[in-house]
Amino acid sequence: MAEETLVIKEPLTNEMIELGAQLVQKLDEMQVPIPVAMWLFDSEINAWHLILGSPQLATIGPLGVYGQIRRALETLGVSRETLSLQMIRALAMNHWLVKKLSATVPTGPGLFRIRFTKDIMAGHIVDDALIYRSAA
Amino acid sequence: MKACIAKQFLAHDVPEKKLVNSFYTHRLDELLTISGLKPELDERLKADTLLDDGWTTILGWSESARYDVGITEMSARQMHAAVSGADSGILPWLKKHW
Repeated sequence: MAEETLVIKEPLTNEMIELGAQLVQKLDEMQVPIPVAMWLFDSEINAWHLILGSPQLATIGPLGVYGQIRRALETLGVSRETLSLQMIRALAMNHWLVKKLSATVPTGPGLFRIRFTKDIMAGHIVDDALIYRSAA
Repeated sequence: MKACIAKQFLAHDVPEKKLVNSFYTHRLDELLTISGLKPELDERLKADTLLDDGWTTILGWSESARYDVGITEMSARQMHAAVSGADSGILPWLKKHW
């Protein structure tokens, strides 16, 4: 008899949603441009990542961008257990996901909470996502 | 990182199937977990902000990056520094564990 493993999907909690929004707002206050922001579920490892599209990857590089994000997290007093830097992925504006999200679900520059579940984005299946902003 | 994991495979011992399957991934976060080194790295990340920024930079890598012709020289150099930098590179720390 084949062995089966039941994997329970990691939830996107209300706390994660609020912290993600607070982080984007803090980065706005710090004048760090983030035209694209969303939580994206990675079914391969059963984990959520906070995706941030950053034009500054091309100018100050990933170390500079993650340094800014880390300082924003420190300013907010977020614990690493709740939202660590390693849960965040900064993507360049020419990354396919950033480009396709902006084309599929354009939001303008505000802060939204749009759930995008079991849908297709430019040929890629998106299992689950929560979009704060898609204004590239 | 795979060298650290390979140390868990013992002679005359059938390794757990899940461990073997996971070994073939290129995902660094998953490899870190099965290496058993995650708790130690987490502690180091709390104390070393350069390592924190660098490890997160490295996690942005995937095997498909080899086809990315749009990566800037700055990003490539910073990735290299995050991996092999003498002070806060991940590789010098990893080498202590294989």
